[in-house]
Amino acid sequence: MACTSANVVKCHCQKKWSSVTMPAMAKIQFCFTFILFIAINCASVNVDNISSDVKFKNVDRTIDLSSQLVKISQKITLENSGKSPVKSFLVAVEASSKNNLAYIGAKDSSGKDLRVSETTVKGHDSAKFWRVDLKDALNAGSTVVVTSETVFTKALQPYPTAITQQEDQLVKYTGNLYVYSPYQVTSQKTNVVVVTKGIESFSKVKPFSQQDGAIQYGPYPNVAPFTEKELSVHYKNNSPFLTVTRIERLIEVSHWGNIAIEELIEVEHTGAKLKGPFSRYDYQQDLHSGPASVRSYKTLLPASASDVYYRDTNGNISTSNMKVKKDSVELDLRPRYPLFGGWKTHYTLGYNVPSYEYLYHSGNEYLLKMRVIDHIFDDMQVDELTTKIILPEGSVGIKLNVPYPVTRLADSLHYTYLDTKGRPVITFKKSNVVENHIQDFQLRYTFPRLLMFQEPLLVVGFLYALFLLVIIYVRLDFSIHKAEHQHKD
Amino acid sequence: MKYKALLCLVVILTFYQGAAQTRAKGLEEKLQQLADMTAKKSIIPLNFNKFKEYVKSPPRDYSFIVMFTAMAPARRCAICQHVYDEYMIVANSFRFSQAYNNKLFFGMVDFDEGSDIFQMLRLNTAPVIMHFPAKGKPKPADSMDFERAGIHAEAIAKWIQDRTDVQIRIFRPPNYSGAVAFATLFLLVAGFLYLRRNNLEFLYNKQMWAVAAVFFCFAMVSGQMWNQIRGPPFFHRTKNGPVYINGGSHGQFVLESYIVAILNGAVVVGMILMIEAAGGVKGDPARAQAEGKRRRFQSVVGLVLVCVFFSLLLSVFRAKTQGYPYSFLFK
Amino acid sequence: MPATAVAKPENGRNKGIFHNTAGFSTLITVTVLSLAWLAGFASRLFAVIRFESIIHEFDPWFNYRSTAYMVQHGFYNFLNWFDERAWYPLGRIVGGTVYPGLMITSGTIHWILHALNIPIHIRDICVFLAPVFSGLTAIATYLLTSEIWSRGAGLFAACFIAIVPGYSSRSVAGSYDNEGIAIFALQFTYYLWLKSVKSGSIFWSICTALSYFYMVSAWGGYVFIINLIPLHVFVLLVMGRFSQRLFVSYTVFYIIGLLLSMQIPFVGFQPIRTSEHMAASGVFALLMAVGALKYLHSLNPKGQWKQLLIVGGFLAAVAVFLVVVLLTYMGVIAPWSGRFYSLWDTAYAKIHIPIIASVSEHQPTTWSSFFFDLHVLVCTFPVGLWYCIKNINDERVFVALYALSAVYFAGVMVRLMLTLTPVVCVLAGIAFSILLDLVLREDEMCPPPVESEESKSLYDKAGKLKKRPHETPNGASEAGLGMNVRSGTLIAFMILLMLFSVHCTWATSNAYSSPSIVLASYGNDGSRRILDDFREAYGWLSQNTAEDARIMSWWDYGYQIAGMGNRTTLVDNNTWNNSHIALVGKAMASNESAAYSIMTALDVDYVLVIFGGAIGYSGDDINKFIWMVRIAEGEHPKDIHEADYFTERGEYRVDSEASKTMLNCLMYKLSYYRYDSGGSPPGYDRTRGALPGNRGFKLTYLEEAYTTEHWLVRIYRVKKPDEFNRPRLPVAKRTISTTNSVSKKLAIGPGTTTSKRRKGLLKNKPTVVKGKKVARLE
Repeated sequence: MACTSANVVKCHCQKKWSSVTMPAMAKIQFCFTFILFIAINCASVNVDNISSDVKFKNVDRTIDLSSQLVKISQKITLENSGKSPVKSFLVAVEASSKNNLAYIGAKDSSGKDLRVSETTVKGHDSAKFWRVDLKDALNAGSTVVVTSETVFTKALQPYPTAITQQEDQLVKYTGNLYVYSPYQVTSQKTNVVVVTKGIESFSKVKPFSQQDGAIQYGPYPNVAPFTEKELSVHYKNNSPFLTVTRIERLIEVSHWGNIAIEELIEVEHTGAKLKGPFSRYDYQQDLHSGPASVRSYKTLLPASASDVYYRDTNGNISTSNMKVKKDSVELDLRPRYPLFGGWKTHYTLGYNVPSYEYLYHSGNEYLLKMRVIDHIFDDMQVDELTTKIILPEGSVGIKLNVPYPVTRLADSLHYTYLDTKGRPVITFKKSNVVENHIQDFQLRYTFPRLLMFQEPLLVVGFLYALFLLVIIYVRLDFSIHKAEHQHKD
Repeated sequence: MKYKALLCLVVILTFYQGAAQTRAKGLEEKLQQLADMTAKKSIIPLNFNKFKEYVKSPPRDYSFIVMFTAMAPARRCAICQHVYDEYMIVANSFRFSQAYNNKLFFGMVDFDEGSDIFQMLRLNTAPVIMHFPAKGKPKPADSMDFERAGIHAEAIAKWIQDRTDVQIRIFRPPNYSGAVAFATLFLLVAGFLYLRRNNLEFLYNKQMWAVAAVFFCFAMVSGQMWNQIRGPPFFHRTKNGPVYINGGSHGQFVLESYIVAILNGAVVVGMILMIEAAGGVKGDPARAQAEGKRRRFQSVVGLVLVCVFFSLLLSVFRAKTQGYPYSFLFK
Repeated sequence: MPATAVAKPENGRNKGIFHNTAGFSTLITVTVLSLAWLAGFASRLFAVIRFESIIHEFDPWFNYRSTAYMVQHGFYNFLNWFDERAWYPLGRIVGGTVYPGLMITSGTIHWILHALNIPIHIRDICVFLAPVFSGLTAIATYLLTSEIWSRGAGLFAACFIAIVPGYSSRSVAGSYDNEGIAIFALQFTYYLWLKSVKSGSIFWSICTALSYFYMVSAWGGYVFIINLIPLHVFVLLVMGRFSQRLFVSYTVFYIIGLLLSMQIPFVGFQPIRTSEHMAASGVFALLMAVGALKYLHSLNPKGQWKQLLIVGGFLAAVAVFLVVVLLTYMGVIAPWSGRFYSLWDTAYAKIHIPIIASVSEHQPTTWSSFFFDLHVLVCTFPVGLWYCIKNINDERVFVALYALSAVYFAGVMVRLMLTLTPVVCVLAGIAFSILLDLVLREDEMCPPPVESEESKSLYDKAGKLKKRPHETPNGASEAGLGMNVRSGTLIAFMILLMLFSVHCTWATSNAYSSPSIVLASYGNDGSRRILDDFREAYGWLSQNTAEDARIMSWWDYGYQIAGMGNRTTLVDNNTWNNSHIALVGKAMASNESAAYSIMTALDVDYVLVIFGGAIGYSGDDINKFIWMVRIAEGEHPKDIHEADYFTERGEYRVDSEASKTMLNCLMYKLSYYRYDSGGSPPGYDRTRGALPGNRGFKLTYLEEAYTTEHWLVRIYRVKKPDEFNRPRLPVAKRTISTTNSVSKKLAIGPGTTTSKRRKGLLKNKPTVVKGKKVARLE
């Protein structure tokens, strides 16, 4: 916990620091950091109370169920009905779904990110709360529009849980019909988006309307705070239900102009399990057979990625294509076998990128700016992410800044070609990761550039010694006595 | 369905019981006679009446193995003799094995004694080994197929075991011929050496040894061992003339292997000629001009031999191996 | 002979010459050898370049797996490794049933590299081990040949063996097998042996023993060494070439080699208990006897020693022989094991050991495969042999024996072409070097042979060297072969050598460089499609079956399933338990319900079959099926009859003509279950070129678990007794079917009599009819 929050602190101060230039501010900066550090470090006792004069004038909520994730974005029109200006307000997530929450964020009307920090409220221990700090205080009587976005993983239950090869996959979503908020909501609308026509059933609470692939609820006037009412939708969802159960991302930095990235990925199909036999015959009949199965998926790599490889413990996986686009490299990865419900696969994906795009330096000071995790497939959900950064041998003064809380593990050493004292390895973990987490981390370190020549010198020295030995051996005669060739004809 | 099966089984059983009781005596004496005959001769020679009596006509609770053959030299049936020997081995090793009982007998019908039996069974080839089961009449599988099984005693025994669950351990009369031949050879060599004991120089004749060794190499390299194990035809006759070279790379004819041996030999001879022409291993220099001429000629001959015969070899090989791209002098 | 006498004074001067040119000739030698190494290495990389760095067909996967195990768990755990993943439910004691040399070699390399922080995956080490060792083999061959003849010949031989297909067939990158390193050990042992025979020094013979120890730890073929060296000694004795050097070298080698070889767990006490090793000990005793006689003779030199020696030696030989025979009859010494015996009695295996006969590389060798593997060498090595015998000496006796025995074995078994190849390279190298020496003698161009020929002047070139001073160039021009003949010869032989090298490249690339677990098919436009079905299936197994699932397949695929699929197998490629294999074969050959009872008895979870019908892959299980039947019949003659699987006319077919038993056996059903693809008409079997005779059937006891993209590998799950999707049956039938299955259950045990008797009763019916018929006949 401590170290998590520490990271958080660093990152924030980092952000400010990059904007602030005057050295005079540094002290104040530090105090601020320190206070904040205290504040967050004792997050358990960090209590907000629900101010009665904040109101949600109107909430426009969209629940996107078209993929394996549940993406809820709500457009909140916030009103300050009190006297004093309001700096922040609270967003709540109901107890039932708080464990599925992967990501929460808030933007203001101009699309700027607002700072969201976790908090609690007395009397409501079951629910989870986040405090959204507005950019500038909201004066009495005025309103502001804030968009909050939340992503839930594993919130869709396959139902039935096992299907045969030819059946479609039906899933069930259970959520809250009303916006779950600590404040009075004057008026709200909810729009549930399921792309498919095949809706088996959904809870009908007037007023509602259903077009194909979407259900509108509301408007519901004046809903009291913390009102819950079950909203359940049971519908056909054949979009790939792939979960990355484990990914280990290895970033190896070389100062000779190359950064090698290798990802060890374990994928499992977490949709409805396959029941009964698999028949290649049916599967070959047409492409629509096995609708719930996953034949292939696309992975986007940085545009400058080169010498990509895609293999597993048995060698190359020969079924894959690579398209180089202008803004990215698109890999069409086909696992060795199609993935049905409950089937697993694992593979290693590796590539190189030129270091000048990600590695900045002034003198001996280096700054590495790379993604914590990269795109694996659309609407991906990752259970456990481990990122390792291998720095060149002899780099010191390592400072890591991450955009969101992660668990940093102990540093270690990595030995590879011509290493003498090992390369420092930075490791950190995060669980329950989704696309919204594709953000950059920053790593600063110091590396005396002369060390670059250590390894070539090693090779040269070795060869020199070798030749010297050979010369000595050939020139001198070590035999004790002259061997004479006796030979019998 | 199963019910029906059981029912008819029961019916048959009762019927058979009755039958057995009525004819039990006849069966007894037949068994007795057969046993006596077998005691005299492990293969019972059968003529028409005997055949009908013992083999064809019930009651029988024993199975009969009968070989139909034509042993008479007039028939000029070469294989019959082999089959007869093997068959005899099987019969003997059954008779003298502890598994011997009255359930299985071995008989033999020679065409010249029982040609009418051949007609009765519509046999027009010999030799044939047939099995007359204790119950029921012979099926196609009851006549042994020499092509697939071969004519070895083991094969016959195995076939018998398939048909009648009597297992016969083949006991071949120990074959001393190999040992005897070896011994005689050894004695001959020894005696020869003893006679020549005063001048054994020829043993130190490297020429001889070298020739022997090189010929052995030719034999092996040209696949004589393959011939010996697989026994291919000498060469293949087709309607458009005989074929000397087997088309596939996995087979060969005897003649083909001889040809190859000769080609190899020619190359070797050529090379040796060249070396000797150029002065041999000892490298003794050419003295006179005449000798120089002779040597030049000799080495040219050797060169031609090597090139021509090697390229012949190569083209033969090329003909056998599909898609082999290279050749030299000849296509 | 006089030459040596004359040579004696020369030698000193030659050595002087030699020392002056040491730098140059060493340079050339080193250059040629390293080039040979490079060429050999490069010519073995076709598979890696075409496909990837991957372990090839079957046995290498086991070697790789156990190497990985050793690297992971350490050497001693490897020696004590009991592999419960193989031969379920028996398991396999790997440490005691494997030649560990290969694993130790690559494990050591791995260890050294990692000590130097060079993180190379063990797989890559295994893949590239054989090509690297081919270079060492070339060097060993060079040393051997220069012991026998001359350094020039050595260089030729090294270049030959570096690229000759007969050797690269077993040592391409990825074929990670014992032979890869064993040939090096073989050649090096022989080199050291000759060295010790020549010098008679204990040092060299101990080196020989050590190298022999490495060979023993690496390959079962060490028996070849331990029989060939005694043969050499014996022949030398017969030729009256006994010498103290011979005595010392052989006795030291035999004792130490014996003790060392018994340290290998897999070999154990064989060296003193089996006939394959008796020749060595017999010769040892004989050598002792002769040595004693010699000593006696040295006591009174003027006695009738010659007769004494001959008679005594003869008696000793006979005595030793008799003792060995006696011990064999008493059972102290095991007789020849089947695999070795089948080398002498070539018909043996075919009758008695079908599992040996079934392996394709145990077939005899046609001349075309000799030519394919050796090309020009096959018709030039007799020349080398000829000259070796013509001017014989101790080590040339050895090479002659080596050649003769090896050529015999190669004739008997394709596989043993491997032991023939090195000696052929040696002899051909000698032949070429003699010829080119003579041809190139006068002119100054083309240094290498001149050099080699210079260096050859160490010995047996005395006459020529004497002559050289008083030889005038013009005299040579008219008396010797003229310039034209020489250059013509030169050109011709360059062409031959060029043909040889292109042939080697072609053969290695086309015949010996396919991993056989990745197939490639080429379209009309030259585009290549990779058929990766094997790894697809094994990957599926490793990911989507229970950790302890038991996979039943034919033994060919056992190692691959264990190596890539990491699952338990019933039988695999080390075919040590014939009856177990026969049981699997029986399951494949019997009908579904009978097979089910066998499979439940062996608690099999999945069945894996290879089916090439969709893509025309000829090496699939239906084509191997007849061997399964034969092996099964060998153990269960009552239940399986080979004849039942052929048509009436004795043909082996799968279409509607095929026999009932064939159409209903498990292997058939698993291969063709719901098979309807494969071109027109649907369900057409491209491998057999026929339309399967039994189609549209249902499986009762198994269900399709997975089938790869091109139908090559088909995996079925064996259902648990509670999940048969039988149609509803009346109670009566159910009871009968259960009794039926009970009797089938017995059928795997000894008690097959029940089913037999039921058959007998059915047979009974016709007798009645026949009775009538006979009546009518009379």
